[in-house]
Amino acid sequence: MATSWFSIVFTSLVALALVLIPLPEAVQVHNPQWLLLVVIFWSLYRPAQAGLLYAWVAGLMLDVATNGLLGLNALMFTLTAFLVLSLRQRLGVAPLLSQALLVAGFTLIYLMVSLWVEGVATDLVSMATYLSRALSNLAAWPVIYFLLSRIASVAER
Amino acid sequence: MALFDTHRPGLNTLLVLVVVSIALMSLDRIGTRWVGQLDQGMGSVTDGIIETIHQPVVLARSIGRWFIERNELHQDLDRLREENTLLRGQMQQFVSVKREVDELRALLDGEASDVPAVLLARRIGHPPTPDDNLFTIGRGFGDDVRPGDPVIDAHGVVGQVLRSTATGATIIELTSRDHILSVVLGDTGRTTLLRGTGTEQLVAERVPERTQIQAGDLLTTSGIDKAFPRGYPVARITAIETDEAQGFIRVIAEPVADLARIDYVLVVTEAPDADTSPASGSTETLDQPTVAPVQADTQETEAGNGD
Repeated sequence: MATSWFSIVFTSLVALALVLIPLPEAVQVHNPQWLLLVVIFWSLYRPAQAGLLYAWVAGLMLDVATNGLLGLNALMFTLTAFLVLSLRQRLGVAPLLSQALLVAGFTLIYLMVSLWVEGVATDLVSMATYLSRALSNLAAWPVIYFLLSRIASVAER
Repeated sequence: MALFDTHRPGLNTLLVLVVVSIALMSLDRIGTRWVGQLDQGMGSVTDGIIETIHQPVVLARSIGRWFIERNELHQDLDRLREENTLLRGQMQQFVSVKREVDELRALLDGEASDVPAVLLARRIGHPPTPDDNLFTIGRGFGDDVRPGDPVIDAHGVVGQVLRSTATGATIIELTSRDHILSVVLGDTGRTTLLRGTGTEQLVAERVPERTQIQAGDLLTTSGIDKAFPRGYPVARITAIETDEAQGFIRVIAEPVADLARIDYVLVVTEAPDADTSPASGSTETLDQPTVAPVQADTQETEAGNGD
């Protein structure tokens, strides 16, 4: 059951076009997030082809298309896909109605977190310097690991 | 089969993607060049999509043309012919005034103004943003549209180019909360910053109380910000709020451009005073009050020309 890459890419582009269709402002607010729904579908039923990376690229395309903060939707799409993939075995066999309810639940989480991230991103102009600590932690972890495991084994003796 | 495979998502992939996204967000916030290039490159694809979904509208419009009555077309033609004659008449006056202004400016700082190069572009869509202040036009990088280029319509300033890709460009309207520009207050020669509010109103804060302005006065671009050439009509004052304790007034204005019904816009691809060196730019700013009466003439002709 290997769906070709072409159909995944094609449906994603069509969904992006649906998102970008100019609509009256009143309707625009209630337009479904077609691309997100397509990403949820593919990660639910074709997880071998459409993984986290696919979700990330789709989210980045949406960011670029809407002139938003680059990476915001990419992050949110990846997290949603992660959630869907982890609940996949329960979600895949659920009846359509409860699937729809769960999708609505994911969307609520998505909207809440993206609102929060947007607030943080506008407040923290120097986010890069703030984030550099994560990288230095990454570099420091092996040091701590070897040091403390040595100490732990010495203390055991 | 596929249903019973776990396909447990890799935690490593997730973490890497999360870190990359956050790094991208912060770099975008700072405004790094290669993030801009990434935006521009991928924007070519999305602007292409916008252009594609605009095609049915173009098709519908061209089909609709078949059904317009003949005498209706002739009426339109007559009206346009009259308007053209009228504009040409005003243009003659404008040319003589321009020559006069050039002479005066040559006396002042030895530099004549050029008529800016403009590019007609059609609005093809608007991205779904919460506050509806962006739109996309069908001209892009290939037509010399650059980020920061001023965008005007028949009445006045519309906004600026935010991003330009191979297939189109995104325009930010001056009413957006992220937009700010420098304007001259009426005939006073005093400049201030005009800020978008996300609604139909524009606001200039902290204008000195004794500034001689009133509702109905026209605000024009000052040219100090180097983003807009000077003399373009921007907004008309609708209200002035006084704050007696502070000694400042707050000017509220609404844009003269017809932002609600934008179909065609003009992109000023080559500003008339674009290639001024920083040194001459600073003298220009200093000369502002002395140039003011001459500049008022330019404004009137610009406004008359625009209408």
